[in-house]
Amino acid sequence: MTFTMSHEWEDLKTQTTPLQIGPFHRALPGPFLLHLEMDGERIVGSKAETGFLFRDLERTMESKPWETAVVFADRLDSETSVFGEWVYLMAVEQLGPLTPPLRAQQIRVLLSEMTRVSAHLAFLARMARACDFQTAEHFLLRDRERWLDLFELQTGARFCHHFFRLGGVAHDVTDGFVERILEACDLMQLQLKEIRDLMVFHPAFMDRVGYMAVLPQDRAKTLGLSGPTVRASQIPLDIRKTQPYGIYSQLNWEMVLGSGEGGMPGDAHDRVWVRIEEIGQSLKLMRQVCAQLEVGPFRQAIENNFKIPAGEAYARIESTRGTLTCHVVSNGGPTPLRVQFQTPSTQTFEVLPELLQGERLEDLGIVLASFDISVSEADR
Amino acid sequence: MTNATFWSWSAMGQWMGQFFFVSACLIPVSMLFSFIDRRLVATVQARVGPNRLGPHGTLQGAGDILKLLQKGPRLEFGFWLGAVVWAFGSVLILPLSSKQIGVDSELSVFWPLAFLLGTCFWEGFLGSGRRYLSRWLAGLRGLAQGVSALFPAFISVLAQGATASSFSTQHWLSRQSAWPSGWALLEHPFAWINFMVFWISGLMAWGWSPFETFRGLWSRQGGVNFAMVTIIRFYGILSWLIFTVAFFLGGWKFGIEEAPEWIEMLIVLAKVLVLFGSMGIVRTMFFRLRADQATSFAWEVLTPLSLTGLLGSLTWALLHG
Repeated sequence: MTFTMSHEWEDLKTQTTPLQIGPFHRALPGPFLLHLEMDGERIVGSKAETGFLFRDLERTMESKPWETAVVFADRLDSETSVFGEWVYLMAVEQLGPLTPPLRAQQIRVLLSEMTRVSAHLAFLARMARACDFQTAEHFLLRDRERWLDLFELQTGARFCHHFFRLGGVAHDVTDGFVERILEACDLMQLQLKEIRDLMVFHPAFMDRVGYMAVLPQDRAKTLGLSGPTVRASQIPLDIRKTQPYGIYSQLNWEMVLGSGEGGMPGDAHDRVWVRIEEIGQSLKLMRQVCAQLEVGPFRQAIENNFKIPAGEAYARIESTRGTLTCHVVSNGGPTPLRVQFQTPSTQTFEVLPELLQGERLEDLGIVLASFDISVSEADR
Repeated sequence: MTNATFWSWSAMGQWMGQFFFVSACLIPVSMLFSFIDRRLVATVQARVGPNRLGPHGTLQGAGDILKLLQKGPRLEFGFWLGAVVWAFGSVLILPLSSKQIGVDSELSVFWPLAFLLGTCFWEGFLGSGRRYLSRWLAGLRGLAQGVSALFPAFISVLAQGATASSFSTQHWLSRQSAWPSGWALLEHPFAWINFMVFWISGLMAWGWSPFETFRGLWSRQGGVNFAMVTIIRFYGILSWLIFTVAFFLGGWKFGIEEAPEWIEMLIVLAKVLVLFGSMGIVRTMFFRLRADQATSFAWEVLTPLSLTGLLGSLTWALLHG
């Protein structure tokens, strides 16, 4: 009897198993449906199905007056609402053309960096929750509350601020706001050490997320991602630095790139590390803005019969998740003819099957959290 | 009930009495421990913790259980029966006081391991019987984690037996005196290793924090099934800590030579509470591990440690008689 082992093994085929997660599940960052193809514990195929949070924001904005539409740009992502407002207004101001006064631009940068700190803290809390590290999660959410209090003090709202206006901001800084920001920066600087000890340099955390969902530099470029995700893969892409807007060109700060400290560059640990360091850079920016805060008007005077001329404009800014762009078309009418957003989370959704390829089912929650997807932003 | 014949009527009566006694005490003790644990963790995490139900929130555990009992699918009786039998079977051998140490034999120190092994296998079988891939994997993970953890626990018991020259619970307890200097933990330097390995292995096998891994079979239940799982796991870890106290920390002995039975039980509970509290503090600073990380920890850290403990204990026994 001849025993042909090679043929026997060639005939053996692994059958993959479909697994559906969502649209509402603890491991997901928001409502969407994830179709997985599993080979044992490994994900060999996936498809993300969105549409569960669709609000038709762009179309709604096109039916509203230019300035009223800002409130819908807010809802692009309520956690980082000022970025939606700013990118839309930046495009409209290009069409105007309108030039916000220096003080207004400084206030915009101040609120943007506050949002960046608050959103990065929320990201870290989500990562901690994905790892079931409740202590860090509670500490991080407690720290974030202080920043939300400051938002409330300045804009009257903790989320969805609706504070930016055509040609400036809704009102000037409130009494004691700048002093409180400086206090919060000092406190946050101290707490950064605690956060680093809790998460970045925690050996158990390094073991848990190091070498996980590695996104090498060349792959990150090919996939067209942006923000802290690609900076963790050592790609120096930050619109604030590469194509500065607002007053960023006048400020002194550094772009943070991944170092591979907890594993290798571009892994989940690096994505956490980059965001923690970016909080430090945002504090630096806020201190500078507070020191340079110009005395003057906070909004450009606009005539009652002011109309946006016909044309189109394109603006992009660096939101907490990456490059956020807005394309606005005007026919000279009272409402925008077309408003289009390109958000970083949309791009992440597009390439999600590639990002999840080969990951373990048990790590799914952490992998998804590490790419910081906002379903609200993608499924607008 | 030492030296009792297993099948005698008096022995059976006493076992039944002990079973009902422990079962009746289980809910209030679980509630108390759960409350202390949650308040302790809440303090570390800079939050308030349970403070609504009952005085200072002490009845929160009862509230949670009552809520769970009213929710979710019906209790899958056959599904949980095996786990209940395996977990609660150890009630009969719990060393709670000098008059209630259940049944004893020449190999009684291995019985907790046997009961736990049975529970782990049952978890594996339950998973393989489920319709979903995730639960099938969860069952396998649970079994793998339990077996991986039990191996070092087994070695640590062997090591302690080497110095005690016996594997009888009664004998181990009788060797320990009322003062900490006479506890098995301080008998020789390697007893520390045996103690730590035994304790941590139990946490891992029962899937208790920080080894509450993503194995998932338990956590995928809802409502009344989840309530049942919670009680079983709580009892499991509680009984494991009682055995840890009996094997290494002098059992019911603490300063008083001839104490009333209820004081002996309180002493056991107090010691268990100390272990439980320290586990609570440790778990606030840890993540939820992946099942393969937990099993790796068992094979790569706990097993070598337990073998070191075994070799050390054997050497100590040879040198010191």
